[in-house]
Amino acid sequence: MAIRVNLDRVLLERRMSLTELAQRVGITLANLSILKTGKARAVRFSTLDALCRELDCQPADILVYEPDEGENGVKDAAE
Amino acid sequence: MNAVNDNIGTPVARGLNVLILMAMVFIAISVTLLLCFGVILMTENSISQDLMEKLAASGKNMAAKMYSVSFFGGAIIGAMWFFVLNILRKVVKTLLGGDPFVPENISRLRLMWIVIALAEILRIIIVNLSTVGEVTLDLRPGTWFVVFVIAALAEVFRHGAELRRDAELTI
Repeated sequence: MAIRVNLDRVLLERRMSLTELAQRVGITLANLSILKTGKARAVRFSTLDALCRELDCQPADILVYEPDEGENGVKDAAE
Repeated sequence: MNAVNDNIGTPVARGLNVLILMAMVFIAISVTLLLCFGVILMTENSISQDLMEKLAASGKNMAAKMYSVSFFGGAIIGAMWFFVLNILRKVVKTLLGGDPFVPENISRLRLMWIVIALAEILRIIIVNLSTVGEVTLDLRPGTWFVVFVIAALAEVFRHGAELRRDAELTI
């Protein structure tokens, strides 16, 4: 999947640990780790809302779309 | 509401488990008896002669060896159905555990319909072997309907397992 989760960078800037964020957001550390490592298949808006609230950031600060080179090639060919 | 945890689902699943166990015991006894009769008819003694007289009295007139083939064939088919019921018992066990949409159940259901189909084909072959001189295609729509239903259920479970995985990985 081309969606990258930049939780590490934001946590570092806010000087917050993953455990603390999990407690504040109200999800388990295991689930937050799944999100951080990019293994999640979907994120609820309620979770995204809680993350942005606790980290005082925008969704774009956490979620970034980075297509692979192959996907770019297909798009260029289509155009 | 989870169908397994409502007031009706779990007792039904438990009852099903008991019925499956009873059916397995019945089939095990039947297979043992069929094997014994098959072996007895392959030998020539007073017991096999007695058995032949009783079988002849039932109306069918076959040689002892043909009866033996039928009994052994019946035992194999019984063993296949025992295997199917054992797999079904494992599926019901996951249902009682609260999580039936596991990947193992997909392969179990696929194995079930394949074995049932093979058992039915074997039954047709044995019936034709034991009736020399005539070929009968004794198709049982009920059994084949069960085969198709289980095949469809296997795909339903595959999709269910996929949805479950999606739900698990939705944060």
